[in-house]
Amino acid sequence: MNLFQIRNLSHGYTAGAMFSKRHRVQVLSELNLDLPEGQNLGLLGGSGSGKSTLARLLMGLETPDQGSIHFNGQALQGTHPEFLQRVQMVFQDALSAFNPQRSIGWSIAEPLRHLAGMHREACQARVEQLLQQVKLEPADIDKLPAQLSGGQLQRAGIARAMAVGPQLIILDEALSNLDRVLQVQILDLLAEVRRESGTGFLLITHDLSLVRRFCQRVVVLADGNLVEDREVTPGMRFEHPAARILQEAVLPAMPGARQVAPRTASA
Amino acid sequence: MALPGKKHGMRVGYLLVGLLLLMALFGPWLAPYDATLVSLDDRLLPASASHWLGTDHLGRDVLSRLIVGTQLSLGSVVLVLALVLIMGVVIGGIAGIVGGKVDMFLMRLCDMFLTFPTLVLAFFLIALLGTGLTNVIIAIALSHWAWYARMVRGMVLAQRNRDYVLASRLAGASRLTRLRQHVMPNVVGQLLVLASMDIGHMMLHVSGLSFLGLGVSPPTPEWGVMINDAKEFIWTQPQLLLWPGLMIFISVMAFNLLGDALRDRLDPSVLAEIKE
Repeated sequence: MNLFQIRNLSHGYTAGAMFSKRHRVQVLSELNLDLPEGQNLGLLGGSGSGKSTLARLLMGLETPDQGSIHFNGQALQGTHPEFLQRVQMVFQDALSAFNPQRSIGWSIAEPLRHLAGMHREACQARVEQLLQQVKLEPADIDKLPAQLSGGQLQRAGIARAMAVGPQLIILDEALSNLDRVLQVQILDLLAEVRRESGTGFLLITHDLSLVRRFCQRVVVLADGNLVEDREVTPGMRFEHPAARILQEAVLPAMPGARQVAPRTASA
Repeated sequence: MALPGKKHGMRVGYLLVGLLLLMALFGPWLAPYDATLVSLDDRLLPASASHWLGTDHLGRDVLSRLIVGTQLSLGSVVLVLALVLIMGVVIGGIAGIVGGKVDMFLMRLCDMFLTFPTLVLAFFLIALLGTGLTNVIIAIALSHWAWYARMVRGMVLAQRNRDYVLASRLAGASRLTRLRQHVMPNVVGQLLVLASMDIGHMMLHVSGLSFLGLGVSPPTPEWGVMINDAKEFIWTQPQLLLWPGLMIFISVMAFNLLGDALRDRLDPSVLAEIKE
């Protein structure tokens, strides 16, 4: 069963400053993608390839110019509560994704209040459970966003996305601001979530090594379209030039000794 | 780590504002003499044990007039500020939230008010409305609201596009809930900081207009009026100008310190440091 079915999706923006001519920037053109339930899909792409635009379209935050997005066989129309119960998103910049005046617990409970209609005590219990699941301290519930570190905040963001038990969580560059150790920790955590609750993830990133570790399938976005779509296997190699660039950009797990040419007398 | 000097300034600000509030609320009971009691035998006395700050040209006790005058000087500023904030939040908020033609119309209206220097605009409005404290308050409020409306509009627009407002939308919060829980609290927080910094400026405006004889009329104790009364004696009795001037200076400083403290309180990056 496909969760999302994207057909001939095209989307663009109007750009242009006050004194320059307005012109259309095409971000996605004629894109087709099927997203099965419970699968971890990696969406790779360089900067400006339209990854985040696709995420926004999938979340119903924007309406596509052309083409269609079907969710569970029904055309997607904006952000409906029933839809949001099934699909959630984690933002790239964790610090700006939390209201600075509200406690972490309050923010994590937001979807519980609005989407699940939970009462105060039920919320509290669920938030505590979520914090434990993402390996945050129970005391963090009353802390303000500025009092947590970037990695902790991103976990809180994941807890918020997990709150209503969605079928799919979109991670829009959600790991890009973290260092290697944290990235791996969080991915392992998410893999655990998937095993326990069957939640699938759409990992949007430009880092192939994260995809290799976490996803079953990978698609590569370049110039507004998908140029690669394949199973993640140990010996996987991309063929499209844009995808090759991403593959070659991955750092080795262990930096080898650099070959330095011996200096000549007067350099 | 919060700088020790900064924390000190914060405490001084709270203390001074607290004292000013006390004087404003209980002025008539705190003052040693009746602030409007004329006693021509005691005119222009120097500071002494019975008249701590001396007397003015009509023999009125300067200290009493200063204390009693606090209520009017501060009260009028608070009123001006309340009016300006209400107009600014309502008009700027509507412009930012509704957008489109409404935004266009309201902002052009703001531009009209912003084209004149505030003092000139205030004079013009007083000329229309007539003199008197109420009219001065209205005039100053009307000549300042446009600044606040523009700022509020900008803040609303900036807040609306923040990730946490988007996150709240994805959490299923309605438009109204997002405005109430995310946009407005953050706008109002920032606005209060700006307003507390602006209190001093407004105070100078009110006192200035009273000094020019447009606001509070003479027998009533008010700092601007006191300065106006004292200007004839500037060469012989300069301290008569000094005391009310000092009060204005202290109040302006107190509110600026308070504004600083408020800003630190609301700035999330500093907030974490204070709490730790």
